[in-house]
Amino acid sequence: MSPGRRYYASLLRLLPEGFRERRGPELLASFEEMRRELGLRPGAARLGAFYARLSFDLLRRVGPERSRAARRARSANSADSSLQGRSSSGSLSDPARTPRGRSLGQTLESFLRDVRMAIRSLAKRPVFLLVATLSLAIGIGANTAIFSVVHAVFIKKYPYRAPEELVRVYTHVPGRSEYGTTSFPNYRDMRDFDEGFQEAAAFKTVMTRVDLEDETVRVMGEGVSQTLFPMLGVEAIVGRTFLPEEDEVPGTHPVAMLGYGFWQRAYGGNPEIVGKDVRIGGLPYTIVGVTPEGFRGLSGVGLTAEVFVPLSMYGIASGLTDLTHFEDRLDRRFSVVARMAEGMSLEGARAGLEVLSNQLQESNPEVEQEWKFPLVPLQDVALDPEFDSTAEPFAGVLMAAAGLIVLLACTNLASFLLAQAANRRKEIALRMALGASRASLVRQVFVETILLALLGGAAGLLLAQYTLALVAGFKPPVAVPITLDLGLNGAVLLFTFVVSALAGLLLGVTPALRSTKLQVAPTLKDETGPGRYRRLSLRNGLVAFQVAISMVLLVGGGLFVRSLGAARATDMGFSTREAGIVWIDLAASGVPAAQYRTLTQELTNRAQALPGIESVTSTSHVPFLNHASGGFYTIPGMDAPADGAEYNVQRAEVDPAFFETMGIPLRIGRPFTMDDRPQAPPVVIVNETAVRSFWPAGDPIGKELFPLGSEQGLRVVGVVGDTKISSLREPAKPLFYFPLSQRPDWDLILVARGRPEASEIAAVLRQMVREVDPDLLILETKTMEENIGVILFPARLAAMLLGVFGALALTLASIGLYGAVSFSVSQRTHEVGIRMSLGADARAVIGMVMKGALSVVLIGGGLGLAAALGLAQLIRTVLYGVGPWDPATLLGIPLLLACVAAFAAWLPARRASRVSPVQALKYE
Amino acid sequence: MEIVMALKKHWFHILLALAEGPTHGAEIRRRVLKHTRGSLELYPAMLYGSLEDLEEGGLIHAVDEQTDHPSRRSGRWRHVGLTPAGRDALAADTDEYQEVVRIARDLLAKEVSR
Repeated sequence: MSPGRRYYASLLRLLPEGFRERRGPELLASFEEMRRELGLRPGAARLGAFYARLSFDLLRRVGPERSRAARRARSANSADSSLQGRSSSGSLSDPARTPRGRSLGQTLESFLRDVRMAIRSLAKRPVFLLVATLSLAIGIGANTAIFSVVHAVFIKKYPYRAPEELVRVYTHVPGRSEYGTTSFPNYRDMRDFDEGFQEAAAFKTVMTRVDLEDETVRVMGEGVSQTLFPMLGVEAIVGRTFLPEEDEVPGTHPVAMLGYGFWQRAYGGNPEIVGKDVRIGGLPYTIVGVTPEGFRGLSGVGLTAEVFVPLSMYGIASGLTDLTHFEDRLDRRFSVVARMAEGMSLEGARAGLEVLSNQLQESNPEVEQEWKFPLVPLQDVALDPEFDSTAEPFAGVLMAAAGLIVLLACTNLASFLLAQAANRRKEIALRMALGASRASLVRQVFVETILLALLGGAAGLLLAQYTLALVAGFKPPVAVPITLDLGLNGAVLLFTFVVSALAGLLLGVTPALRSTKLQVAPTLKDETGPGRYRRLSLRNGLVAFQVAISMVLLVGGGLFVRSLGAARATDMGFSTREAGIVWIDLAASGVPAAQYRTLTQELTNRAQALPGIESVTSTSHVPFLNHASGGFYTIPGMDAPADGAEYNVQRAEVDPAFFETMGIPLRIGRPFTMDDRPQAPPVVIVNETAVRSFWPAGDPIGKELFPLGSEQGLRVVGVVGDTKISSLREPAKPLFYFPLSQRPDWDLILVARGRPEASEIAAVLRQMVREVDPDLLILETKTMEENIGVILFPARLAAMLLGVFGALALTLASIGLYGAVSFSVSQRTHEVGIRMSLGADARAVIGMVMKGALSVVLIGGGLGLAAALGLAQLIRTVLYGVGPWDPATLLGIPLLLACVAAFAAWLPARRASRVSPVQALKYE
Repeated sequence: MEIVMALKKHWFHILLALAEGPTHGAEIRRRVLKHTRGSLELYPAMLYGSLEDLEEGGLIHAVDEQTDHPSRRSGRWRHVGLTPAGRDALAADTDEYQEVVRIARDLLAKEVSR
């Protein structure tokens, strides 16, 4: 044996036995023949090259042959013909026949093999894996999070006895708020009314302070009528609820219950607190019980009452000294909850209330007010019907936007799955050519898709958790802490996950099923004609769809951003320059009314003296910060108003520096001065709307107006510009200003401007107040910016959310577009190579690719724009200061979209133009 | 419009070689060398490995030895030939090559006329 042959024979030993046995002789024969062809004396180089190539050839073949041998061995043992991956040299898989009747162990083993293969297969395509998982995660996560929030705010059920029987009852006085609060005598009549309710209860939110061991905390609490807890079916978990006699005579029974959360936080959940005294609002109350966990009071969703007192004590708890409100039919300050009579319907209850309101009018002829009593099921109320009516559509918009994002994510996923299916058509066809059973192929795709769905679902769960944590930590700029029960809603998660999995299955398995049905040969050739065309069009259609959705969301976001801008730019009527604000509740602090004036003066003087402060004012009302109370006035020269004997006009009590500090322009007359002392003639300054309403003839200076029940008139000494009072959209309303020195108020707000930062000013003010009297209850410390921020909050939120959605949508759509163009380019690489080898330059290639891509974008963008135009009309009521067809938005957004889309298409196009023609021609 | 060759280069040429008629491995190698004008040399392991692949894939199958191939050595010489599937695959790829040629001719014509 020649040394060469010996060498080759020994190389053969590397091959598996079976192959060696079958082909060994032929291999050697071929070797001999090829060696002979080299000639007798080939030369060292040629010989060396020959043996090198020979060795390399054989070594390369070792791996695949070993795999083949192992495959055959396994197939002989096991019953299953699950497919193995292609080796790099392109061997086809072994389709060992599957005998019928497999054991459980074999089924399990084959399943595990499927899983392993699926993992390997997915790992080989990391980009696809990432995009698919991300898409699923965004879809599942966003949808779940949003739905959980909406559910917590709007849908959650109260844990009360027979909650469908519970209703909220409001009082509607014509000309005022439709869902207003109720007076105590009227509530009592409702409660006693036979043809209406089984039971009724009233409550009132109170802001008060509780003295703990080492600090005094400001808490929100509720005064509740004794009937409330029994009516709701709420029982104390420690101690007891209130007794009837504890709620009968105002001010006689200082007892209280603690809210569960507060009990845990402040007293460590120690049941010994029951029976002890706790100082609430400066007075000792005996704790009689603790409310159950999960009961947060009735003030509204997200608001938690920390302490409960009998309704008869509420006034004292909040520092009021005048308790006549329980007898005044016109003093409407209570909220009413009632349980309908058994078997009664909403209509029946409403009819009953109408009868009641008529009865009350008749039996109280001296009262000039008219009352209607609207009724809303308790379940339907989140905060109050007016707030709800603006919040609900907004939530609807949110849900719709979230739904669109989910749709987008799913179409992305669909698009990529389709591409994968297309890429694997050949692979599938080859495997089928080798006899792989359809079932095993489909099963493999099935496992892959499930794996993908699981991965996406897990990522979605994480995303949902994270988002909910963000939402929970998000503090809207309101005075009271807002807590929402934001558990991840298990049902929603499951539902979304199942839907995503189903969608994934449909999209992954259907193409697999379809391609396995085809004849092998045409598919090996890769079918031309309708099938392939349809597939490409479907993918392009998906991209167009995504672009359309992005357009809609971006236009929405743009409109809201513009809305926000307009809101910020609105002329509020006062200076929005930064200032520090401190709001003190003198009554709740226990300050006697007689001391209001001196205390106010002292605080103002001290504030003035603080370093860096340039101007200070004290007032009872700051726009947007607090409610401007109303008073009743008679105005000589004006007939009595339609709904009563006097005009109800809002008012504010201010000091002489007010108009200047707040930047409110004086139109005619004079501001208040130090001369407007308590003993001096009472004066008033009015705003422009007041002049238009009450003195249309002309100059009001010197005219008088009379507060209700007062003989002495107030003389008008000045007119100032209009300001906003509580919201941006409100119509202009008349406002009367009185000198604080003549009419001190229990709401004392200090507003200071100066050189330091506004937040510093506010902090320094607060510090100063605490130094003067640590027991003073400070309701709020904030800057003017924050104050206005409260009003802008919904607009800001909308702009931010929709902006984020729009950006998200754009990202997803760009990914989709990039993927589609990349895919199309990869399919056309051969064609590109030919063109380039024949002289087409890079630019022409890029142009060719981009043209196709941009036509898709154009169609999608056009459709999206049309849809956006239509949908914009729906949100017109929510927009502020911009029309739904705002030109800036409608021009800017499509431009943005076009640029991003062009970039997303350009990248793969450029890649295509860079491929070497030789490569491309070889590409299979 | 996409142009895709489904078969790897080696398989194509092997199948092409068998289009003339069934034969054994060494002869296949010679035929391939001939019809590619010497540019494709099928080394033994690659050759016989591919034959195994193609057989597993159902594109070729074993045939009875032809009596007009006297055995030159001892040892088995397995003759293989195209199966109908193999023939189809070969035809399909040939069509694809034709398409490439057509495109090339089109583009060339455009080049000239410019």
